[in-house]
Amino acid sequence: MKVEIVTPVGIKYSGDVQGEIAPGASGDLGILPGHQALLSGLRTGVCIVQLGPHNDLLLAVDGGYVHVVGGQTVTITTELCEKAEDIVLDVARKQLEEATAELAQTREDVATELWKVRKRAVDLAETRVRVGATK
Amino acid sequence: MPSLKAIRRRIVSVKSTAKITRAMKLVATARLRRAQERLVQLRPYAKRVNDMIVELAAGTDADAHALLAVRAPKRTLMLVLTSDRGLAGAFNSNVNKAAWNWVKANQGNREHIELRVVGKKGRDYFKARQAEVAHVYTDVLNNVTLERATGIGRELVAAYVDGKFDEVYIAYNQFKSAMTQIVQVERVLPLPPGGLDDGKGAAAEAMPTGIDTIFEPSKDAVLDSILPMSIDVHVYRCLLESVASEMGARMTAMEAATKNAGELLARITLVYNRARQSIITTELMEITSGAEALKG
Repeated sequence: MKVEIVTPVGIKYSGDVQGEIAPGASGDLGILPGHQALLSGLRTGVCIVQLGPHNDLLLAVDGGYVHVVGGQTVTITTELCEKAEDIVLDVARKQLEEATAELAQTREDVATELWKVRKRAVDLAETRVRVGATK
Repeated sequence: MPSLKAIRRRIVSVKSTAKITRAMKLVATARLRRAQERLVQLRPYAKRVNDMIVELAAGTDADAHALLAVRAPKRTLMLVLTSDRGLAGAFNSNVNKAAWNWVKANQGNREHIELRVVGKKGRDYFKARQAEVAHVYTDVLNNVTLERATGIGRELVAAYVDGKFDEVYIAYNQFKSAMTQIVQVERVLPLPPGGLDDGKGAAAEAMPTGIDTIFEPSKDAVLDSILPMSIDVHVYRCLLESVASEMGARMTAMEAATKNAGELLARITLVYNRARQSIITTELMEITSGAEALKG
């Protein structure tokens, strides 16, 4: 099965893989060869590319779409995709702390625009820390 | 013949002009390379997004979504992409002229055409023609970011969805090479069924779309988010095409200017030397004739 991760700054990953777990908008989506045609939005989270048994590549993605065509081609289009080597773990940890503190201030007004923006920042920082730790 | 001093002053001024045009060419070359790189990197992304909307649109009733539904074109929004600075050959005037011609040709069969302009050059052009410009975005091409493009894209989509406009057009320079830029006036909303031009002139071919495609969370939700997003990406690509075109046009123009300055300099130097020689000759003649007179 072929996976391709495309961003506005180029193709971030392209290769044959065994499977893939994408952070779908309504829950994680495990995709194996032969998957039914699918088009789903993504949330901010970790995308796991299964290169082989016990060999996973973790990538941080921030929204976008996953598109499965013909059961053999998976295309992820996202505005932001980072590999572990793109992430400075200390910076990511600090961002997570800051973002969490900011989110805590808006605890009262859940689901407002500001809250959503801050929640997304927390999610992104969390994702970065998770992916950065796999270096 | 002008005085020696005047010619000398002219030589200095031509030299400093040549220095400036040469520097501008170097800067344009460097920025062109960067802009081209970004454009090349963006292309696969723009193509994938386009593939998705073509597949979606193929399996959807055109009336099912506001951004796909074709309405009778009465009120039109035209976005013209120009730069803030001149000295870029025909870059700005070409796109301005194309947009203006389009407006004049289509004014008759529409109630209203609103102009929105990116760049000071476009603003000045339409001001000189007493055309009303509803909004001017400046400082865009200096630093094109996806966020900025998204901001502009969202405004276009919002104006269209609100029903203020029945269609949206973009006029921009498409980058072919440093020498060639092609002006495009394209409809972006409602979305053309073949998708938006991906910069290579090839409309995306519809993928073998299964009727049994799963949409998560739902088809409408996917349409709602992906269609505006495709407009953002398109605006972003048009902006990048414009930057590359601007830099290409400026590079070519400045190269020609530097060459012309060199030719001019050679000509003036010749005049200068001739003038100097004739002064020397006159002086010599005066000396010799003075000496002859003394011998007398």
